[in-house]
Amino acid sequence: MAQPIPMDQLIKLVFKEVAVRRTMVTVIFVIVSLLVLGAGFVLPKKYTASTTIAANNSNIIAPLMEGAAVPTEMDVSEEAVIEVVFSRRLRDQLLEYGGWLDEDLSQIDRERLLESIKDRTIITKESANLIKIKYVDSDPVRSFKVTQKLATLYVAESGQSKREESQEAYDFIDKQVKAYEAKLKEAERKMSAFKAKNEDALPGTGDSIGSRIENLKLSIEKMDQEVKEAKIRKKSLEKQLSGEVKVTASFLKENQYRGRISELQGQLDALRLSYHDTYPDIVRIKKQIADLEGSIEGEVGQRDPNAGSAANNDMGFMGDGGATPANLSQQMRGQLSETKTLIATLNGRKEQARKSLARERDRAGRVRLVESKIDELVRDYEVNKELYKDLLQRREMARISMHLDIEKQGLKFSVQEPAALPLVPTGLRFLHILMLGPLIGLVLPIAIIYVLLAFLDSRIRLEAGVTFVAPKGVMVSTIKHMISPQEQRSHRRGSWLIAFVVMLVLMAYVVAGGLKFMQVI
Amino acid sequence: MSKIEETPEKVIEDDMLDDSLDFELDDDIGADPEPQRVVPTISSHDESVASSGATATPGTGLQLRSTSSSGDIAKMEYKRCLTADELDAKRIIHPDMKSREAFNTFRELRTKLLKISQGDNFIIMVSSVVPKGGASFFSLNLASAFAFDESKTALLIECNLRNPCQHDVLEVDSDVGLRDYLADAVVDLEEIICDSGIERLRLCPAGRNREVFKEFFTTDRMREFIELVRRRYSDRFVFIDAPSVDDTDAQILAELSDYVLLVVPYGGVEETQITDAIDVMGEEKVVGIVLNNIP
Repeated sequence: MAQPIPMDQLIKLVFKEVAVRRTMVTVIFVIVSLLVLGAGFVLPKKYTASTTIAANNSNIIAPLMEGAAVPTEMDVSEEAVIEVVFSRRLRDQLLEYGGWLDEDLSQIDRERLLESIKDRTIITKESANLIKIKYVDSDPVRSFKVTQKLATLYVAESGQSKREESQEAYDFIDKQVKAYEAKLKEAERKMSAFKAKNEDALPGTGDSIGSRIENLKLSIEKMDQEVKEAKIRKKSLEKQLSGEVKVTASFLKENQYRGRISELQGQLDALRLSYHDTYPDIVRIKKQIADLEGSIEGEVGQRDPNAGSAANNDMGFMGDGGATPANLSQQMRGQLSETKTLIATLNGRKEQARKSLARERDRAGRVRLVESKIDELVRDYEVNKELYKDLLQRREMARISMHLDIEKQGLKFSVQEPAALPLVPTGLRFLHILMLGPLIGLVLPIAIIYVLLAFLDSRIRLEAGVTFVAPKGVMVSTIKHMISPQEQRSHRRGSWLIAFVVMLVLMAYVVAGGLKFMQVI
Repeated sequence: MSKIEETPEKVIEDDMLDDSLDFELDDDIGADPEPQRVVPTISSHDESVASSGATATPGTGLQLRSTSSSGDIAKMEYKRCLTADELDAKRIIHPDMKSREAFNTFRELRTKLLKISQGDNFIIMVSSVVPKGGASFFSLNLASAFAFDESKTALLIECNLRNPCQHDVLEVDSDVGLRDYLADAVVDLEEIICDSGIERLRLCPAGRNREVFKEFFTTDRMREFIELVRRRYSDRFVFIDAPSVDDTDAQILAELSDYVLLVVPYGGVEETQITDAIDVMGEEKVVGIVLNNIP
């Protein structure tokens, strides 16, 4: 359809179609109704018994032990309960109790039987610590017994498996503890072996080496410094010595000048006896004397004032024998050679110190390697030690939990609501079937027709459908089915027949209902 | 479709000679006074009455003229007349029927068609979109609706050669029909136009010739036949009961007709089938679509 049919029109169409296809509708009605009726007889009744198990944790021990021990929290999911109850061990008990083992069953049959029992067992978690077990069976007594047995089995088994669980937990931790003990021992052994192998690599040597290196460095520096000083001294001595020579020469010159001056002075005095100061020779001689004095000044000025010798002094010149130029330069030469020796010595020592330094640095490198390796070993050891301590703690807790469970303190399971014998079958009661049967029988064909018209059959049934495709200007009209008297008569006959058949079916229901009712009684 | 005044000299093929003209009337036209045959109860509005004794005399050179007058129509006589009960049983509308719905619907259609044709007579073909859609039922009733009007007559031509049923419904027992007429030049027109049992409604049955391989409707004879029945009387409306649109005959007949009316059975066709049918018939010819047989 280009457009979907609006609901109200669709309903009218459905009714029309039902009227047109009334034979089919009736047939379906009859078949379905009778089938449902038959099913009502044939299908077995179902009885459900249920019981509730509570997991209570309320006793004194629990709060006391909180933090110290962990009472096993039972996994109370539905699947877990099924696991427990249908475990290999308990199956046979269950089957026996339910009376299924009265007849011999092959292995396959047993498996199938257990599967069907499992299917009919419904376990729900009512709340955090309530589990409801429901079991459906066609025999009320068996339903009751099996439900009861399921509950007791579960309670007993849970206790048992709890104990097992704590035991297992304890064993596990114990094993871990022992494993770590061994690890620690191994780590210790490694450490000592290593230390023995690298004696010079004891902790602390690093520092001493370090300080030695520092010392060496310092002394090398010092020596460097001394060498420098000595060199300076040497230089100045040398300079002085060479200066001394110059000084002596200058002294000689000075002496010469002074000698000359005395000479001239003598001449001058002689002349002065005879002549005036303006006598040209006298002037000449005075000038010469002045020149010579000037030269003497020059010589004096040239001489290093720090010559270190008392020879600057006129007096010292002629004075005590200790500070003669010859003495002085001897002294200085002695000092010079001393200094040179010092320098050589220092250099030698420096060289040695350098060699030592290199050695120490080498050593320092080795020590670093060793130290890092030791650090590693120590870390390992420390870590393992921590874990070990932790495990020891846990083992203690597990031990206590185990004892708790062994003495049945902690989480407890008990039957909260015991199973009761079901008196009334569950599920579809016959009465329901009585009412439902004809209803389904009627509704089903109508539903089929509805689906047909709404979704599957798009053939035109409405004037609107024709108008939709008709070109503009084309008349559209509708003609109702014209019925001839003959057709009307046969139609009426058909209606009676249908009514009759429906009546039959309903009567069958009434009869069946009555029989059932009487049987029950 | 207007009155066609045929010139007196116009000679029509022997085959189409209409020998059953009434000589009681229309003296002014100068009809040949010699009676061709003696049939006491024939009116001018009949080409023929399919009654025993009617014979055709070819070759008389009769003039044909189209006439219409209610007097003529009133004088159309019938061998028999279907009663109301019979009509009910045959599902044919009639003025005395109990349920008026169908009756009014057909009359409405009649009015609308007349509007379209502006009162002139026409040839309308009724065909179903799918076989067994009710075209025969519909065409018969539509023709009847036109026949109610005392100023009009209807001619129903049975062209559904696959399943011709009109003659069964109307219980017309004729030796010859359209097929015979088309196949054999010897057959006269008046032989195949029969009394239907309904006032002012004539039936042209399909006939018994069962030569299915023969192309009937494309012949010149058919074309001439159609022209003849159209023009003969200005107050006669022609209804062709055609096969379903998938039959090529339907297309051929559509070409010969003025209008086409499509019948759609309730819950029997998809939209696309309708549109295809309209295409095949020619959108310009389709004047109406009817949804038939609504429960």
